[in-house]
Amino acid sequence: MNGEHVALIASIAVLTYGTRIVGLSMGDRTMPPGIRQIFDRVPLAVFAALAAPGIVGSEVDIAPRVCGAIVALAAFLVVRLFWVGLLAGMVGYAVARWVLG
Amino acid sequence: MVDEAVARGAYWCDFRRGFVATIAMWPGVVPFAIAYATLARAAGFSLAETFAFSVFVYAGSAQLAVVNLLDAGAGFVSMVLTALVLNLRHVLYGISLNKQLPEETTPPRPILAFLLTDESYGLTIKDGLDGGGNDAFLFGSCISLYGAFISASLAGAIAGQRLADKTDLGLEFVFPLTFLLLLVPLLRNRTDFVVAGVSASVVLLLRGRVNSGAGLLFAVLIAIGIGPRIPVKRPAR
Repeated sequence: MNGEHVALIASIAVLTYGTRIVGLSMGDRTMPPGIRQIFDRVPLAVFAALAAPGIVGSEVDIAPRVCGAIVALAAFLVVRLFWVGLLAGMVGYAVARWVLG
Repeated sequence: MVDEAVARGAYWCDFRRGFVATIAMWPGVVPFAIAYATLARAAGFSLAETFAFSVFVYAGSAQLAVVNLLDAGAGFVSMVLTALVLNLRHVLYGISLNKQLPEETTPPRPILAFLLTDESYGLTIKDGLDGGGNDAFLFGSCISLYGAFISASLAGAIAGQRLADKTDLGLEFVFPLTFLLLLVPLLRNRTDFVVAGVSASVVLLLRGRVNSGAGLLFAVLIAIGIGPRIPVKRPAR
């Protein structure tokens, strides 16, 4: 095992467990609505920041990637199943790469 | 004695309900875990590391984000902070669940905490609305999902190396596609779209200027800070 990878996994394991045990140990307390809204929006900000560079910000294959993303979105919005969207997007991307060269 | 046996029977009945209710989530979790493990192998994690990440962290989206950042050459601190930021929502889940869990849970709270995920939280809250949603239901749901997730991670880690060796499959596109599909269900109103748009724009502007992990954290902070304050024009009626 790579030492840096082990340290990374251990650090994230400890912090993730911390976020889980803190809430469950807080008893009947409530959280101010402002803080709750911030917490609610963190995942969507992170997911958008992770998705964008690999689709519209890609240095290669930008047109096929956009095509794949559109196909994935369409499939997901119709079927509402993650794996169907992922599979459709990858197929759309492969076809667009083949067609567009 | 009889009361104890009845209570034990009721506990395992609720445990079974939680376990079975969560099986419906497996088709969503299994491909996600396989995608994570395949990409972790492609990013340089060994089979043992890929599996250990799932066993000890058990937070799919954070694991995928970290693997993505590792592949992009991000620094240690930014990867850890990204995982922390993504997992902060668990604090909210715990606070919310406390309202329907007994003071003394079986198993104890430190064990339930380790297994807490979006899916188990959602199902337990939903079951609570129907008068259930206790510690036994939550534990059954958690065990069901944990088993599915780590089994799929192991399968993905074993199969992943073969796929990762074939570099021309365009496998790296799974990363952004996965996060795009995780993002869509979270977009519930105009402000959510603005926050996502600001985050994506800032990360694209910072590309090549700062380390990808730092760029991501900066984009998230800007989006959370100013996104909700940007006025959203509503269509005239």
